[in-house]
Amino acid sequence: MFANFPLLISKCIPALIPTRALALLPLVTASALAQESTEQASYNNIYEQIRAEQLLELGQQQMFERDFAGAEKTFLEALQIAKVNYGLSAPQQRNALEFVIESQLAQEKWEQAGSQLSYFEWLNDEIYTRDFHDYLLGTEQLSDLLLRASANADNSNSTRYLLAAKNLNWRAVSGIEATLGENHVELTPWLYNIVLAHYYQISLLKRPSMFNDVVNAEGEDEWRGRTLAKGESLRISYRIGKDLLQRIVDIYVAAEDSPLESSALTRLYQADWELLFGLESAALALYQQVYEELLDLGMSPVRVNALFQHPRILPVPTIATSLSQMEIQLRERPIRFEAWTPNYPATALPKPQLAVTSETAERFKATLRFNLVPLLPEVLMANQRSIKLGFNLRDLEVISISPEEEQLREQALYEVSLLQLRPVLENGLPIVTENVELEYLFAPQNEALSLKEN
Amino acid sequence: MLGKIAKLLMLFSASTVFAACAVTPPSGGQKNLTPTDAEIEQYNARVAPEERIVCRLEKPVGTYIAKRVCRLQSDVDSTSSLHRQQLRRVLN
Repeated sequence: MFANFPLLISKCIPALIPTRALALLPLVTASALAQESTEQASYNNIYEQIRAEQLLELGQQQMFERDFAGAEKTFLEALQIAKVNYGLSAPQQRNALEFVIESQLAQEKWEQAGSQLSYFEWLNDEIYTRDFHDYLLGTEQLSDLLLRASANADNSNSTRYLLAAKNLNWRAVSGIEATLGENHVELTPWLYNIVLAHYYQISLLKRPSMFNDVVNAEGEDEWRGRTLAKGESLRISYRIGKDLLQRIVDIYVAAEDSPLESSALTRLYQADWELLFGLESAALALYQQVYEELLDLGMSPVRVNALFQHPRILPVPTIATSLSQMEIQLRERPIRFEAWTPNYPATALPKPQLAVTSETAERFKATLRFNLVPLLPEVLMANQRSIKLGFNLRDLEVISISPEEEQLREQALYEVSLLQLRPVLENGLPIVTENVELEYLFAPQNEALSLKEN
Repeated sequence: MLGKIAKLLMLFSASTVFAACAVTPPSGGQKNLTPTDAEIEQYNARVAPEERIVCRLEKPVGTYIAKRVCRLQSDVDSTSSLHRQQLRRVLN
């Protein structure tokens, strides 16, 4: 077997591989020897690209079957093939790398996942100088992975990953400003991602016992406490979100080739932001302004009212800059809320790919009914906990719940009471909405926790 | 009477000239002299941890009026460390 080793290496490594790839020789050897025992497949050598694709498919199947350790091994092999075939700094590694990280996160292998995330970041920085648009694609992929790592309730580094994702989005903004200009429309989704990251950050404050570990400069003493006061942290997040949303509006006001209604619609998110921070008067003034701006553009009052005829849970995960986009978003009935993670209370799952892999396949859900009344907040829940709501949920009740458990019913009532909703508006003014139905899906890790307790 | 009017006119024109020469403060006052929170966050995202800056409201000795001050994080850390050392020395 070892006599054939030089021949095996010469067959496996194509001539055009960068010299840096030679550093991979020990890994290549180990992987090649491991593969010798596997059955004959439809490829000529183990580093053929078709094999990498087969491995990715196999790994996904293993993930589906919850064989995360097996999936990790398979994805690592696919990653190795991409490195050998395309070079150490080639973007073709990203798909396999993403799957490797996902499988490691599912196994709660935080240290290994952290190393692979750092490698992804290094790889993406290498791509920046070669292909800026490809760099942005990689940044989006990495940002999703970081958010996913931050969402896992068992990960002690979750806050660090959230901040890393936010910083990554800022670097993308700086890159776009330098490459495409400071008022390019391409900036807006990245700016909105940063706004959302600030919302996730402030939702951390709703968690009990949220502390940061602070080590002093000499590393002698460890201090446990908040690095920023709660109020200060809230104010900074509010101001940054407000500035960025204003910048999004300004970009659309100046943009020539975007739909006319874009600037008015983006102002809607400014109003939502005010509402999320309990500034109802500012929010209502902005909602009224959006309504009037849309009428000024020649839209009929009926069509404008239709945009606000259903309450929406805030913050909206993606920004809609045209009427058609917004109308698509409004088709969903009844209102559905898929809780993301216990780490970020009252936060909806932003995208399906950010879902935390759960130990259980079963999904707990509830249907609730309430009236939405534009009145001042008041004491909610039996434990007399006062929760500031933009608009008041009245007569909150659980219609159905699965599984039927009293504890889960109470949890549903509490979690829904934390939600913030954009009110129904008629002619730009909020109105009372009765019998609003909400389908609530609990966060996957809440379910696992509940099962363990039982 | 005409002389009085001429004197008043001269006074008015002189005051206008002096008013035009007066230095106007920058609009927005202190606000425009320090970067916004968003600008700081953007800057901090692309520099090494030791080069990051923090801005906060501080009340200087002798006044209750808070002032926004921006410093290097490393500077804040070393100052805090120095103050702690001094405090320990005094207490021991």
